[in-house]
Amino acid sequence: MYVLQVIINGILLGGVYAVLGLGMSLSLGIVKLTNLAHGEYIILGAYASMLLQAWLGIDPFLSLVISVPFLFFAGYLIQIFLVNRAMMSGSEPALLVTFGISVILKDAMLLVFGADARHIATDYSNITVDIAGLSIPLLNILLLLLSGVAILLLHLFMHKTYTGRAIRAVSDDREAASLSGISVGHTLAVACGIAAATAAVAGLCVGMKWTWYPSSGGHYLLIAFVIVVIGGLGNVAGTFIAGIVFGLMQVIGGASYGLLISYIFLIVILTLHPHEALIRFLDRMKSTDRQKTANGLSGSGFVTVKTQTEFKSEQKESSDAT
Amino acid sequence: MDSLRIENIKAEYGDFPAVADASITIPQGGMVSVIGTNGSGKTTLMNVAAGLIRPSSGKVMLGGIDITDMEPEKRVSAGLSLVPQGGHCFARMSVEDNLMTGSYDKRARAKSKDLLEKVYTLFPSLKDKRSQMAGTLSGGERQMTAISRALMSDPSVILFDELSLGLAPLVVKNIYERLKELNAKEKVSILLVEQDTRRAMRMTGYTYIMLKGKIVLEGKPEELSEDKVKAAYFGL
Amino acid sequence: MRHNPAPVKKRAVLYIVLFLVLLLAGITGFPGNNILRYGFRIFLYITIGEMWNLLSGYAGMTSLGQQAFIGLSGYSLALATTKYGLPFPLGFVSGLIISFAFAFVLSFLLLRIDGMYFAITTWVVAEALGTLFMSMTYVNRGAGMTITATPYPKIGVLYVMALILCALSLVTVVELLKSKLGLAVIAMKDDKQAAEATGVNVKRCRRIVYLIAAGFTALAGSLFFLNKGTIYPESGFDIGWTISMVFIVIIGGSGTVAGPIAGSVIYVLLSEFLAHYPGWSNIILGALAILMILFCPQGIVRLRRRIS
Repeated sequence: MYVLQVIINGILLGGVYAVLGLGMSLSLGIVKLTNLAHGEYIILGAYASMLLQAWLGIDPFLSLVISVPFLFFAGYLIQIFLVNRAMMSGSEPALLVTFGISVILKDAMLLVFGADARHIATDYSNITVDIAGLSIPLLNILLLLLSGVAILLLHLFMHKTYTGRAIRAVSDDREAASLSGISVGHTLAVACGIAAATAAVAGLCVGMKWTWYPSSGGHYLLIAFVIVVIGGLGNVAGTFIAGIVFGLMQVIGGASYGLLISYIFLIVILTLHPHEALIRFLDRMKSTDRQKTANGLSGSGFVTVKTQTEFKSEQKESSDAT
Repeated sequence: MDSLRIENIKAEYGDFPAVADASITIPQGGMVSVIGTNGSGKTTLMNVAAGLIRPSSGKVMLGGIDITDMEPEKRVSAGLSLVPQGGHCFARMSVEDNLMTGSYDKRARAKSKDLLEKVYTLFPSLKDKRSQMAGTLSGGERQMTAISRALMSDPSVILFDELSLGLAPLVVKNIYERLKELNAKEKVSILLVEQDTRRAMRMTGYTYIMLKGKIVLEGKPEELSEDKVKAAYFGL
Repeated sequence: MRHNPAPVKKRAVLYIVLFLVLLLAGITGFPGNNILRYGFRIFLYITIGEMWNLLSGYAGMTSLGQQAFIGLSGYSLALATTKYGLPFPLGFVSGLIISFAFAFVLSFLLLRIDGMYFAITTWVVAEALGTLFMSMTYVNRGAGMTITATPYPKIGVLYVMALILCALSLVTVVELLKSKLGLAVIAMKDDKQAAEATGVNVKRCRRIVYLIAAGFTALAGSLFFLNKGTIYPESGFDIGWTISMVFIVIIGGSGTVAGPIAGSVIYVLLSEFLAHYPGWSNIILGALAILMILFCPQGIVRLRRRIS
């Protein structure tokens, strides 16, 4: 019974992990940017919810009404003034700029908020619900619902609005997008703004579920990477499954070794990319060309994270062009 | 007033002079063609007109407004649209999403429903495949999607860069008939870039022949004798 | 330069004289402990800066995880001196060997990837090491370890060691870049496929560069921690090490030998100055680095050249 309870909690936490990976998935898949400051965005979101709860006395879930737009604008402005410019000279300058932003945000938060551990507590933080003899924390259920809503909204936004379609178009073919009347720079910044806005949601989850420090960003950035990498082609189901897999890894591995396992897992996936091996295998099975398979797999997705080789070859092309 | 005037354009790719001196005029509601061999600078000229490449000298005038320094996306909202070589659909998006992306601009957004209907009447086969991923379409359908996407921005001028490239003759014929219809009914000004001299001259009321980055011959189809065209085309 | 050997010789003599003067200053202790302490830090930062520059600026292998070798060598030193009672030079040697071995094994994974995947993976590796050391009783977990040596080397000795290490690293980088291997490395950064097509063994080149960088960074790490006397997982595997390397190379000028030297002097003096404003140093360094990337990607070394 205990084992079952642990597993169910791991699954429920999968939603939180999925939201952690959501923004990273957007910036990697669409903007083609490794945003090393994403972890700091998450922590910033946590502080924002904490402050709003303290100042206005509102429920932390309500604080999203303010923290989501706040992080959207922060992400938008950072992208349009700093990162877009660096991206023009290549992916490594852009990487280093986001690294710089990450360092600045981390130390700025340390200055403003101090080094204390923080947590967002509510009246219902410790309530558990008994379902079929299992006691499940109410918070886990609420956070799963929140992440479900966030992912659904993002999915609708990407498919049903002009801006969402423009974001997907820019991700697909920048030149054709600008010939369709889309401003590429602005659209990339909007995508980054949205990625940052998801960090506000992720920050709330992190804050309500665990404790955090100003320096916790790197930790959550790496988790976001793990989720994106496991989720691979970044469709809704993939991200959710990745979140659940990660949640279970944490539950099974325990606090510190769970993290270590996921780091090693990440290293293996990044360097040996079994994901691509799997795609190649599927291709051979279907004996269709690889492009089609990738399209088919990502068809249902809200974003399309390209496989590493595809991505690299594209980067190569763009660097050749410049 | 002329719909689009390209005046004395000079443009380079790095050090390579792609267009040396080219002027083209599309009259209001007119249909003109630019022909020339590979590497004669036709595509570069189109990219200059659409704003993807900045010319080193010369002007691009759209309906009397100087748009030489305008961003490509702003030109679209000003009413100029380019269907680039090979179409360039958004492969990972559905046909209808591709088309709706064409109406991104505020001005077109308000009319997007009517525009979509118009486009579907023009190319009924796209309506049947509206929810299919564009990447899985045939070459002709992809080209139709690209054309329709350009139409969705409600343009006054459309430039078509080598529309027929790699398509079956029957498909090309069908597409060109649609363009004629478009030109006649909607009064859209059209510029066709072609390699096929005969087809271009048959389709349009005025033809420019480009060679090594320069316009070497121009005129109405009836004014241009076959020998003259041949000589200009190959630089004999 | 190659066609004009006389100035090169003159310059070499100048460098040797400069080295000897700096060495003499350390041996006599004439400039005083404070200046020597600055010198010690500048030399070490030049060393790790040059190595990061070799990786990122020349070979196109931007690493965010060089702190792995600093941490490993620092802990090796602590283990060797405190746990096994060995003299500290043997601690250096063990740190070097362990770092080489780790880099060698890791290179089989890392050389399969490049660009941002390389950057992220190196960082994850360093984070993983930090997490591992945090939970290993063998290294006292988060409680850290002390480094023992009798007699504990004075700042003059540390300074001389850092100076020699720095000189060695500079000579290695300069000679490497002049060698066939160096040319291959530079060709490889510009165009990997083309380099491969002309018969360059890209993997071998990348591995050698990675191992050299690991070795020198490890030695610098040993010296840093010999000076500090204690090591914790957070200080050994601190991403801050990478922050300083990035700053030094970006400010000074990536892809030049002189860049990291200028960058290190600026870094040490600036961080000394910023120590009066606790908490602000990384913010200001980070902002400066971003401004440099955006508006002066060539670094100040080439900026100066452009003005003159």
